[in-house]
Amino acid sequence: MNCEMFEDWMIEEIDGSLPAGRRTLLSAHLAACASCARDAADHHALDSLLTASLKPPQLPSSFAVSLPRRGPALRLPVWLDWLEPVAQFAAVALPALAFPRLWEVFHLAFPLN
Amino acid sequence: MDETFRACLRAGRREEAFELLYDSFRHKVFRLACSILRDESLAQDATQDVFLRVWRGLPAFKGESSAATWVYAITRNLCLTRAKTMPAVFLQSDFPAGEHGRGPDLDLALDRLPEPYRQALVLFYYEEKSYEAISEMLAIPMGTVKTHIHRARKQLRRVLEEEFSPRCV
Repeated sequence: MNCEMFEDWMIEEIDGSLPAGRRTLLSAHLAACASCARDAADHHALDSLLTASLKPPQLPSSFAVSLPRRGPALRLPVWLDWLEPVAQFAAVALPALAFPRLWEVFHLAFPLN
Repeated sequence: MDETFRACLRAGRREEAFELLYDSFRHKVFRLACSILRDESLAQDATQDVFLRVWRGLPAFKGESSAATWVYAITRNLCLTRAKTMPAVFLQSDFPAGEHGRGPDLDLALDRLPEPYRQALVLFYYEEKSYEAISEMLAIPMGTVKTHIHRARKQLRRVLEEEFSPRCV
Protein backbone atom coordinates (compact mmCIF):
# COMPACT_ATOMS: atom_id res chain seq x y z
CA MET A 1 0.00 0.00 0.00
CA ASN A 2 1.38 3.39 -0.97
CA CYS A 3 1.19 6.78 0.72
CA GLU A 4 -0.98 8.26 -2.04
CA MET A 5 -3.72 5.78 -1.26
CA PHE A 6 -3.51 6.70 2.40
CA GLU A 7 -4.11 10.34 1.50
CA ASP A 8 -7.47 9.29 0.00
CA TRP A 9 -8.24 7.41 3.19
CA MET A 10 -7.35 10.48 5.30
CA ILE A 11 -9.84 12.53 3.30
CA GLU A 12 -12.49 9.81 3.60
CA GLU A 13 -11.91 9.75 7.34
CA ILE A 14 -12.44 13.52 7.54
CA ASP A 15 -15.58 13.24 5.37
CA GLY A 16 -16.85 10.47 7.65
CA SER A 17 -17.00 7.83 4.92
CA LEU A 18 -13.96 5.65 5.75
CA PRO A 19 -15.00 2.10 6.72
CA ALA A 20 -13.99 1.03 10.23
CA GLY A 21 -11.63 -1.69 8.97
CA ARG A 22 -9.59 0.84 7.01
CA ARG A 23 -9.46 3.26 9.93
CA THR A 24 -7.31 0.80 11.87
CA LEU A 25 -4.94 0.36 8.92
CA LEU A 26 -4.74 4.13 8.45
CA SER A 27 -3.91 4.71 12.12
CA ALA A 28 -1.17 2.09 11.96
CA HIS A 29 0.29 3.69 8.82
CA LEU A 30 0.20 7.21 10.31
CA ALA A 31 2.01 5.95 13.38
CA ALA A 32 4.79 4.59 11.17
CA CYS A 33 5.04 7.26 8.42
CA ALA A 34 6.02 10.77 9.51
CA SER A 35 5.30 12.28 6.08
CA CYS A 36 1.74 10.92 5.99
CA ALA A 37 1.20 11.98 9.61
CA ARG A 38 2.09 15.55 8.54
CA ASP A 39 -0.29 15.30 5.56
CA ALA A 40 -3.06 14.08 7.87
CA ALA A 41 -2.46 17.00 10.22
CA ASP A 42 -2.62 19.39 7.22
CA HIS A 43 -5.91 17.88 6.02
CA HIS A 44 -7.41 18.17 9.50
CA ALA A 45 -6.25 21.80 9.72
CA LEU A 46 -7.78 22.51 6.30
CA ASP A 47 -11.03 20.86 7.38
CA SER A 48 -11.15 23.04 10.50
CA LEU A 49 -10.48 26.15 8.41
CA LEU A 50 -13.24 25.24 5.93
CA THR A 51 -15.69 24.37 8.71
CA ALA A 52 -15.06 27.73 10.36
CA SER A 53 -15.13 29.70 7.10
CA LEU A 54 -17.88 28.06 5.07
CA LYS A 55 -20.79 28.47 7.45
CA PRO A 56 -24.15 27.86 5.76
CA PRO A 57 -25.60 31.21 4.68
CA GLN A 58 -29.02 31.93 6.19
CA LEU A 59 -32.04 33.45 4.52
CA PRO A 60 -33.18 36.45 6.59
CA SER A 61 -36.34 35.75 8.60
CA SER A 62 -38.02 38.62 6.74
CA PHE A 63 -37.58 36.81 3.42
CA ALA A 64 -40.86 36.11 1.64
CA VAL A 65 -41.91 35.39 -1.92
CA SER A 66 -44.63 37.66 -3.26
CA LEU A 67 -46.75 35.68 -5.67
CA PRO A 68 -48.71 37.36 -8.45
CA ARG A 69 -52.41 37.83 -7.66
CA ARG A 70 -54.69 35.56 -9.61
CA GLY A 71 -58.32 34.69 -10.00
CA PRO A 72 -59.90 31.41 -8.93
CA ALA A 73 -58.31 28.39 -10.59
CA LEU A 74 -60.18 26.92 -13.54
CA ARG A 75 -59.97 23.18 -13.29
CA LEU A 76 -61.75 20.60 -15.40
CA PRO A 77 -63.23 17.57 -13.69
CA VAL A 78 -61.04 14.43 -13.82
CA TRP A 79 -63.41 12.64 -16.23
CA LEU A 80 -62.62 15.35 -18.82
CA ASP A 81 -58.84 14.66 -18.68
CA TRP A 82 -59.03 13.17 -22.19
CA LEU A 83 -59.72 16.70 -23.52
CA GLU A 84 -56.11 17.81 -22.97
CA PRO A 85 -54.43 15.40 -25.47
CA VAL A 86 -57.28 15.95 -27.95
CA ALA A 87 -56.79 19.71 -27.73
CA GLN A 88 -53.02 19.32 -28.18
CA PHE A 89 -53.55 17.15 -31.26
CA ALA A 90 -56.08 19.59 -32.69
CA ALA A 91 -53.68 22.50 -32.16
CA VAL A 92 -51.18 20.80 -34.48
CA ALA A 93 -53.49 18.99 -36.90
CA LEU A 94 -55.95 21.78 -37.74
CA PRO A 95 -53.37 24.32 -38.97
CA ALA A 96 -51.67 21.53 -40.96
CA LEU A 97 -54.97 20.58 -42.64
CA ALA A 98 -55.96 24.18 -43.23
CA PHE A 99 -52.63 25.29 -44.72
CA PRO A 100 -53.07 23.84 -48.30
CA ARG A 101 -56.53 25.39 -48.53
CA LEU A 102 -55.23 28.79 -47.35
CA TRP A 103 -52.37 28.52 -49.84
CA GLU A 104 -54.90 27.91 -52.64
CA VAL A 105 -56.98 30.93 -51.61
CA PHE A 106 -53.82 33.05 -51.44
CA HIS A 107 -52.88 32.06 -55.02
CA LEU A 108 -56.38 32.78 -56.27
CA ALA A 109 -56.22 36.24 -54.73
CA PHE A 110 -52.63 36.95 -55.85
CA PRO A 111 -51.86 34.90 -58.97
CA LEU A 112 -48.14 34.59 -59.66
CA ASN A 113 -48.47 35.03 -63.43
CA MET B 1 -43.30 15.27 1.36
CA ASP B 2 -43.34 14.21 -2.30
CA GLU B 3 -46.52 12.15 -1.89
CA THR B 4 -48.40 14.94 -0.10
CA PHE B 5 -47.18 17.41 -2.72
CA ARG B 6 -48.43 15.22 -5.58
CA ALA B 7 -51.75 14.65 -3.82
CA CYS B 8 -52.21 18.42 -3.46
CA LEU B 9 -51.47 18.94 -7.14
CA ARG B 10 -53.85 16.18 -8.20
CA ALA B 11 -56.57 17.74 -6.09
CA GLY B 12 -55.90 21.16 -7.64
CA ARG B 13 -54.68 22.64 -4.35
CA ARG B 14 -51.93 24.70 -5.95
CA GLU B 15 -51.31 27.06 -3.03
CA GLU B 16 -50.89 24.15 -0.63
CA ALA B 17 -48.54 22.35 -3.03
CA PHE B 18 -46.50 25.54 -3.37
CA GLU B 19 -46.28 26.04 0.39
CA LEU B 20 -44.99 22.50 0.83
CA LEU B 21 -42.20 23.15 -1.67
CA TYR B 22 -41.43 26.57 -0.22
CA ASP B 23 -41.20 25.28 3.34
CA SER B 24 -39.10 22.27 2.34
CA PHE B 25 -36.69 23.88 -0.09
CA ARG B 26 -36.29 27.62 0.40
CA HIS B 27 -33.14 27.35 2.53
CA LYS B 28 -31.55 24.74 0.29
CA VAL B 29 -32.40 26.75 -2.83
CA PHE B 30 -30.80 29.80 -1.22
CA ARG B 31 -27.63 27.89 -0.32
CA LEU B 32 -27.41 26.37 -3.80
CA ALA B 33 -27.83 29.86 -5.27
CA CYS B 34 -25.11 31.19 -2.91
CA SER B 35 -22.74 28.47 -4.04
CA ILE B 36 -23.21 29.44 -7.69
CA LEU B 37 -23.55 33.23 -7.45
CA ARG B 38 -21.19 33.72 -4.46
CA ASP B 39 -23.22 36.63 -3.19
CA GLU B 40 -26.00 36.46 -0.62
CA SER B 41 -27.96 39.41 -1.94
CA LEU B 42 -27.93 38.06 -5.51
CA ALA B 43 -28.82 34.63 -4.11
CA GLN B 44 -31.82 36.10 -2.30
CA ASP B 45 -33.10 37.65 -5.53
CA ALA B 46 -32.51 34.34 -7.29
CA THR B 47 -34.42 32.43 -4.58
CA GLN B 48 -37.33 34.83 -5.00
CA ASP B 49 -37.36 34.25 -8.77
CA VAL B 50 -36.93 30.48 -8.44
CA PHE B 51 -40.11 30.27 -6.38
CA LEU B 52 -41.97 32.50 -8.82
CA ARG B 53 -40.99 30.07 -11.57
CA VAL B 54 -42.03 27.17 -9.36
CA TRP B 55 -45.42 28.82 -8.82
CA ARG B 56 -45.91 29.43 -12.53
CA GLY B 57 -44.67 25.96 -13.43
CA LEU B 58 -46.84 24.03 -10.96
CA PRO B 59 -49.81 23.52 -13.32
CA ALA B 60 -47.48 21.98 -15.91
CA PHE B 61 -45.52 19.80 -13.44
CA LYS B 62 -46.06 16.23 -14.62
CA GLY B 63 -44.34 14.50 -11.75
CA GLU B 64 -41.84 12.66 -13.96
CA SER B 65 -39.08 13.64 -11.54
CA SER B 66 -39.19 14.28 -7.81
CA ALA B 67 -40.18 17.73 -6.62
CA ALA B 68 -36.64 18.25 -5.30
CA THR B 69 -35.06 17.42 -8.67
CA TRP B 70 -37.43 19.86 -10.37
CA VAL B 71 -36.84 22.72 -7.92
CA TYR B 72 -33.05 22.28 -7.97
CA ALA B 73 -33.03 22.17 -11.78
CA ILE B 74 -34.90 25.49 -11.90
CA THR B 75 -32.41 26.93 -9.38
CA ARG B 76 -29.34 25.76 -11.29
CA ASN B 77 -30.65 26.99 -14.65
CA LEU B 78 -31.62 30.39 -13.30
CA CYS B 79 -28.38 30.93 -11.36
CA LEU B 80 -26.12 29.71 -14.15
CA THR B 81 -27.86 32.02 -16.61
CA ARG B 82 -27.39 34.93 -14.20
CA ALA B 83 -23.78 34.00 -13.50
CA LYS B 84 -23.06 34.11 -17.25
CA THR B 85 -24.38 37.64 -17.55
CA MET B 86 -22.49 38.91 -14.51
CA PRO B 87 -19.19 40.72 -14.93
CA ALA B 88 -16.29 38.37 -14.14
CA VAL B 89 -15.35 40.45 -11.11
CA PHE B 90 -18.47 39.23 -9.32
CA LEU B 91 -17.51 35.64 -9.87
CA GLN B 92 -14.11 36.01 -8.30
CA SER B 93 -13.70 36.55 -4.64
CA ASP B 94 -10.92 39.09 -4.90
CA PHE B 95 -12.73 41.41 -2.51
CA PRO B 96 -11.02 43.02 0.44
CA ALA B 97 -10.36 40.78 3.44
CA GLY B 98 -13.44 39.96 5.45
CA GLU B 99 -15.90 40.75 2.65
CA HIS B 100 -17.32 37.24 2.85
CA GLY B 101 -16.56 36.67 6.48
CA ARG B 102 -13.44 34.64 5.70
CA GLY B 103 -9.83 35.40 4.95
CA PRO B 104 -8.86 36.57 1.48
CA ASP B 105 -6.38 33.69 1.10
CA LEU B 106 -9.07 31.06 1.35
CA ASP B 107 -11.35 32.93 -1.06
CA LEU B 108 -8.56 33.27 -3.58
CA ALA B 109 -7.52 29.66 -3.13
CA LEU B 110 -11.12 28.48 -3.62
CA ASP B 111 -11.25 30.53 -6.82
CA ARG B 112 -8.28 28.61 -8.17
CA LEU B 113 -10.25 25.37 -8.08
CA PRO B 114 -12.12 24.18 -11.16
CA GLU B 115 -15.74 25.35 -10.76
CA PRO B 116 -17.32 21.88 -10.24
CA TYR B 117 -14.78 21.11 -7.47
CA ARG B 118 -15.25 24.49 -5.79
CA GLN B 119 -19.02 24.23 -5.88
CA ALA B 120 -19.09 20.66 -4.51
CA LEU B 121 -16.69 21.56 -1.70
CA VAL B 122 -18.54 24.73 -0.69
CA LEU B 123 -21.89 22.92 -0.70
CA PHE B 124 -20.35 20.05 1.26
CA TYR B 125 -19.77 22.43 4.16
CA TYR B 126 -23.07 24.28 3.67
CA GLU B 127 -24.97 20.97 3.75
CA GLU B 128 -23.32 19.48 6.83
CA LYS B 129 -21.08 17.12 4.88
CA SER B 130 -23.82 15.19 3.11
CA TYR B 131 -22.77 13.65 -0.22
CA GLU B 132 -26.39 12.70 -0.84
CA ALA B 133 -27.72 16.26 -0.51
CA ILE B 134 -25.08 17.59 -2.91
CA SER B 135 -25.71 14.81 -5.40
CA GLU B 136 -29.39 15.79 -5.46
CA MET B 137 -28.73 19.53 -5.61
CA LEU B 138 -26.18 19.35 -8.41
CA ALA B 139 -27.78 16.40 -10.22
CA ILE B 140 -24.54 14.40 -10.33
CA PRO B 141 -23.90 10.86 -9.04
CA MET B 142 -22.67 10.49 -5.45
CA GLY B 143 -19.41 8.94 -6.64
CA THR B 144 -18.71 12.05 -8.71
CA VAL B 145 -19.49 14.30 -5.73
CA LYS B 146 -17.01 12.34 -3.64
CA THR B 147 -14.34 12.54 -6.35
CA HIS B 148 -14.87 16.30 -6.77
CA ILE B 149 -14.55 16.89 -3.03
CA HIS B 150 -11.42 14.73 -2.74
CA ARG B 151 -9.76 16.51 -5.64
CA ALA B 152 -10.86 19.90 -4.30
CA ARG B 153 -9.27 19.17 -0.91
CA LYS B 154 -6.00 18.01 -2.44
CA GLN B 155 -5.78 20.98 -4.81
CA LEU B 156 -6.80 23.46 -2.15
CA ARG B 157 -4.17 22.19 0.22
CA ARG B 158 -1.54 22.48 -2.50
CA VAL B 159 -2.64 26.00 -3.50
CA LEU B 160 -2.66 27.23 0.11
CA GLU B 161 0.74 25.71 0.77
CA GLU B 162 2.42 26.91 -2.42
CA GLU B 163 0.86 30.31 -2.94
CA PHE B 164 -0.39 31.66 0.34
CA SER B 165 2.32 31.07 2.93
CA PRO B 166 1.92 28.54 5.73
CA ARG B 167 -0.74 30.72 7.39
CA CYS B 168 -3.73 28.47 6.67
CA VAL B 169 -2.33 24.96 6.47
